[in-house]
Amino acid sequence: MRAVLVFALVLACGPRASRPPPSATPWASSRIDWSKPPAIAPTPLAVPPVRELSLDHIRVVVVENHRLPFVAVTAVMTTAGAREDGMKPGLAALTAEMVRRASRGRIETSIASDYMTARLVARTEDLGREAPLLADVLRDPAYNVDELIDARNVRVAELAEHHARPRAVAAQVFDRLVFTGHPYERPAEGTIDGVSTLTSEDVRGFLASAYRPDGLTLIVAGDVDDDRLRTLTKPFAGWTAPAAPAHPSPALAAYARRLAIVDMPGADHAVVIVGRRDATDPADRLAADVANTILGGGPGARLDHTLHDQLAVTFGAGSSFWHGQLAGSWTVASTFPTARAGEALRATLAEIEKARTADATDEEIARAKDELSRAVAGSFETNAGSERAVERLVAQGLPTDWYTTYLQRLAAISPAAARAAMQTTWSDLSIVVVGDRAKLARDLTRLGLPIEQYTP
Amino acid sequence: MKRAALLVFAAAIAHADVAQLPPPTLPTLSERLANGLTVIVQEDDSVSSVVVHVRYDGGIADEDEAHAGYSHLVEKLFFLGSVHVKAGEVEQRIDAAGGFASSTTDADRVSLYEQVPAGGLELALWLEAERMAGLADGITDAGLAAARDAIAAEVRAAYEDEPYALVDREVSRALWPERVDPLVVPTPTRDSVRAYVRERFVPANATIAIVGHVDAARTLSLAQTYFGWIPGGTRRVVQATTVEPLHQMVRRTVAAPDPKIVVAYRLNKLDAEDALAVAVGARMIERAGGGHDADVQVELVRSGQGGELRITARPRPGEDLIKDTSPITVIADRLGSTDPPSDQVRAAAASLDRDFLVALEGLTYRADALAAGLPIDLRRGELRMISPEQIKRSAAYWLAKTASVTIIGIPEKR
Repeated sequence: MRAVLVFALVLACGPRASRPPPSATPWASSRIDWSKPPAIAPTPLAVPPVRELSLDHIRVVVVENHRLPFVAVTAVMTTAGAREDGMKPGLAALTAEMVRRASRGRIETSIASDYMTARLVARTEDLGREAPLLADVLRDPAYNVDELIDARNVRVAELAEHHARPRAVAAQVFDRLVFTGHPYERPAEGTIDGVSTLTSEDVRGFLASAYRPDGLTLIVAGDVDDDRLRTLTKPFAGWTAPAAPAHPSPALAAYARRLAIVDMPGADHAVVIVGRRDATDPADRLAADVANTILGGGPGARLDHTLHDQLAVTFGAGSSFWHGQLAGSWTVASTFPTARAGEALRATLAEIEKARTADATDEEIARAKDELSRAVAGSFETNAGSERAVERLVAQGLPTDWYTTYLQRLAAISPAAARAAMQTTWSDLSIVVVGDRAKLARDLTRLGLPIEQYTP
Repeated sequence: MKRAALLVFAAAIAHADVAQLPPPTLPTLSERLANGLTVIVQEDDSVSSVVVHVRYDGGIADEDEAHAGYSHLVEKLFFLGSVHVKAGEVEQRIDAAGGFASSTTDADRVSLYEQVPAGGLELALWLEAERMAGLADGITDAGLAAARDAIAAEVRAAYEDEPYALVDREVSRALWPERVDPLVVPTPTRDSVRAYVRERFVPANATIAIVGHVDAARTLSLAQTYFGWIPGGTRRVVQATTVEPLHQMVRRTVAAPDPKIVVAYRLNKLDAEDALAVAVGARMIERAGGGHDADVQVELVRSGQGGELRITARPRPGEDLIKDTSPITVIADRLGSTDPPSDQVRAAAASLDRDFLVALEGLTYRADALAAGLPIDLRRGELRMISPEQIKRSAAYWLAKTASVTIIGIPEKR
């Protein structure tokens, strides 16, 4: 007994010098249970009305928000996307850039495969003065040849920079694999070879054929009413579409799974994209979204849990759909240390296979639906968010009530529908790896597919 | 950085005292608890989420040599475990609630904040109160090592792996030679960090701003419940500093991955009288150089310890900005010597006003501004009354060529 007592005293009188002074924090006085945090209360969610109308023969989609005195307008031109380039890759992107420059920086433009956008933000009080600018630059942007040459040079330099970014390279090669022979296989921003040869005549020709009122939708969010909407559409009055219709894109070839590598000798990390072409019908899209959220919706989802939390091979892993007008894709994208890329790729494929073959739990499905509901409601909390949400709707040709009925439709997705989506969406996967081929070849060979070598 | 730039504008407007335009009015309550913690709550029922922002006064500019890098280190430690919360648990719980957690360290503050669905308000308050009360006792050697590793990784990423930040670091060194390097890896003992936390990261030195879908009165009561019991500590009065322009022109060259030129100037503090005129002048520079020319960026940053204006350019093909930087400073030079045209002043002020309205939509921005003491019921009128003469006077003082720093990044030959 004495020995035990002495030992206890030694412990109590141990090397206290290295210990911190005892805490003076009076936790008990707080009368708060610090053993577990408070439960999360339900949060009521709502999506504001999304209204569609036609003014001055222009399609307008409106989300009113009168909290702050400004209006944000995104013009979506679905006839001026990159897939309309024809034989001049980068023409749509350079044309959108000349529209931006013609506005002297007042309007931001962007390019996607299916459409271009031009965005104007104005205080409510300035709307009357600024609205004509949007119509001016879309109908007849003023620029000179020197500006075009400058824009072309800058764009070529940017594209050269892209070639040094493994993630951008991986995404471009993935599109080449799954959309072979279709305009979707080309990067929306163009190629160095294509952009280098573009002339002012090319841009003028594209403006004349692709920038047209029958391809235009104005998305308006913010402090607007019908009078202010007319202020926006009036400058477009009298704009007539050219007689020639926009040229149709070729049909997509049949999809087949493929494996490609872009060799970057010495790279200490490998970028990996796993995915496939997607053809989910819009009617089934919500169930597919629930399934995707369970698998790769971000922190806490299965992929992140396995690759980040358990294996610690990446800062984060997720999966997502891209929906174009003519087709779509589904991808998992991540970056792994070269030494562990094989292990990480196998774990990724195993997680996808598990999702296809084993049921999701009711809890996972409920959590995914909750997450999607919050994301959709949250995207309408700002004018910019509303614009982006409606832009997706316009670009994908979805009905105007897509969001206003979203929460209700999502709630109606049954666990069985979500499980069915998981089991059918993810087969025949294609893989792109950007990294050191010599160190990755053995793992890739095990996949049993011919390895195609690509260059950026 | 952009957020910081927008804060400048908020500061400028907050200083105004003239005509009042229809403001974005939202019910806002404020209270100082008995322990010294300031609580500000703003209701906004147009959103479904809430932001909880805890600001601790004192940051990088407030560090002495013995504590260089401590602010950044403590910011990291806040996520690496406290008495009742394990390392990584804050992010996990906020993620699971459908929100996100983040933090920042600047010249004059360390801020922790999270955005959660409104139903997660109490969770956020519980987590913030727990780490306010329990960080010091919860610091472990493992946590300290992890925080140091995280900072070392940031330093490597910024200065070694892809050293794009080398030019910007040199700008900071030249502009503020009296300050410690913001990205330094400290090697303190656990006890020294604990002592530092106990002295500075206390209620008396903090402000909590809660913005979003909340009931203001109930939220104040919740804040009292969760934070009111924490011992207040002593309010540290940060020595008021006077900011002046540099007294000499600095021009240096550093190795960088890409050619890049930064011309920078010191600016006055958040609450300075000419803050608004400087902001409009900066916008004029941006509009002249930025709008048409995609390769020039103008960045305005300001805090309670002084601010800076940086004009960054990447040379275009065939352009030799390294020999001659005047194309990117011509507007700044001209502003200080000639009254700018009234229509350009009005346009720049309107552009600034518009961007401020856009920023105000964001809950995180609003919470940040409120925690910094910037009133949200804006008096936008003074912006319209900024005169060309005010801009010339402020530019002549702050944007003089003789007070400029020019750092040129030149790619190393391989």
